[in-house]
Amino acid sequence: MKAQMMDLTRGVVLENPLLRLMIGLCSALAVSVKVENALFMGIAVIFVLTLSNVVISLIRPVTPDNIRIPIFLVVVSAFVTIVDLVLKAYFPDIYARLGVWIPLIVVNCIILGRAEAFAYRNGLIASAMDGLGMGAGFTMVLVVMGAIRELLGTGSISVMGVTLVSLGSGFQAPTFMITFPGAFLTFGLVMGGLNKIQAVMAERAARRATPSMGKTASGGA
Amino acid sequence: MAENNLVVTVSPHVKSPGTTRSVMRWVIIALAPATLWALAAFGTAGISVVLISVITALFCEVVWHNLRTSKGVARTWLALALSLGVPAAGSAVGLGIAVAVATVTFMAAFTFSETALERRGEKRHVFDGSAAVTGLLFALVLPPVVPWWIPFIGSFVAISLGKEIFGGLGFNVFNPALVARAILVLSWPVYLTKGWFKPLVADATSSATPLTAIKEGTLAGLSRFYAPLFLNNPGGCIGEVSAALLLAGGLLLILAGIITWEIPSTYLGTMVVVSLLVGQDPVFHLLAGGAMLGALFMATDYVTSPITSKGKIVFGVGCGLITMMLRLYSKSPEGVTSAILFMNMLTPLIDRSLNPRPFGVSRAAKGVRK
Repeated sequence: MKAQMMDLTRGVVLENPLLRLMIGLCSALAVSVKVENALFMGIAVIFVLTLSNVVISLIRPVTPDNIRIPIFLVVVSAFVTIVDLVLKAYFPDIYARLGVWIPLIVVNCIILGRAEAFAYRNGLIASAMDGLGMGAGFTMVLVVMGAIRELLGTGSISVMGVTLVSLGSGFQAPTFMITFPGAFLTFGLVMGGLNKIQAVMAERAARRATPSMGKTASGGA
Repeated sequence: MAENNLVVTVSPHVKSPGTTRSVMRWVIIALAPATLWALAAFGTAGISVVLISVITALFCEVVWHNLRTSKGVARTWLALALSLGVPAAGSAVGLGIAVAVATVTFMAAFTFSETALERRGEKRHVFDGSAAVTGLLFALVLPPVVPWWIPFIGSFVAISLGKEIFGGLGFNVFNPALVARAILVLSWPVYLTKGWFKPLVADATSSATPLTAIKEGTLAGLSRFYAPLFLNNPGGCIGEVSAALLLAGGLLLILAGIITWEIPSTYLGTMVVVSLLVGQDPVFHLLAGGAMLGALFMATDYVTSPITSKGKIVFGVGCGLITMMLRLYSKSPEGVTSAILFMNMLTPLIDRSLNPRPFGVSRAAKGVRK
């Protein structure tokens, strides 16, 4: 049970696909321009990643090692086609905005990377957990980046036509944030922020672990 | 006895008496004539841009320094929050100029008090002058008529994102002032490409600069711009009023040994060659726009340009080529910012591939070792 929890949570922070493994960056930089786009892209990736991990893990015994990559791609593209058609049918606006990035999930490094590195070597439950966790980590970073970029770049955040936050009409939005250089800047700052938080937490943990001497001394006094 | 005369140290063995402070003092002295001349031309508009920019740069430097050395952290956070929150709130309510004055005064007071406190204690850091130079250079590449928050945000970006986030002076990859300019041009193109004074007549705003004339197809009779561009041309950024004063400042820096001749001469030389090749007026290209300011003061930044003489020549030629390419074939009339930023990016590569041969190592051996 503990191992499964580890499989699930690993993708969120410790091995976050974007901030730690640094894979799947191109779609993340392109899609994180709006929170709404980021959410839908994240859900699509969670769906494809989890199901393709499950199927690839299931068909391990019958997959010839030499041609495993083409087989992975066939599995992945089947699920991407499902997402593609569903979005096209039910959310045409978002489909139009995400554009080529939905079909491109087929060649997203995260999905092929997890298939090769994890699902091809692990059991069904573990692979499903890994897909969910990695997808959640991807979605989280995407939404955070989308929120920063949409808020600063356009002055407000709106999801499905509802304005969540607005900086007012006096705010002159720096359009830099919704351009590609802004995506790189935001990504760098988010990654730097996470590094800083982890460094501070590690320092605190170390301080809590080692200075038992100081504690006893003060306790004695 | 003999041991006392034998001093074993690691290189460098030849040391210069110069410090960061003395270098920055020279740069400010060299920029002073051009700046003062520009302020005379633009009046209060120019003075407020330069003041806001320099004070914001110093303020950001103090804040970063305090946060890094964990000095008065709570006080520093409070100052940072106030300096960002007050103008944001003020702008939302539309208080305009009052907010600007209040913010800048507050930031100047904080900077002054922190620096005064610092003098009693540890090594001086803030007034090594680099932040003041960055703030001044950034102001010099702005149009004279901009909202007050443009130099404010720009200087903040220059110091924070251009320099301190990389680890401070000496670690930045790109020229901080130009990073800020590039980000601001992408963010608020309206303010950064308008607000010029009219060329030849210093009384109107929002007119094209002489370089725009080329983009609009005027190629003949550009020599009428020579004298104004050389001495007094208000149609351009604050620092571009007089090419002659910039040139004098640059020569002063070269004579004082602060910068070397390689980058400015190859930069400007390449521009002359390219403009002759395509049949455009080379003198005009040198005098107009940011070529002088860029070649003498921006491209020669120690941190972001190559170390070796050969590397500097490659750097200068690259800057010149890209500047001319952008001026001739891109949408925008000027390309100095992008050219220098691009070559900044290549600087580590240039330094590594033009590594000088150490004394005593044969050419062949060096090649083999690589």
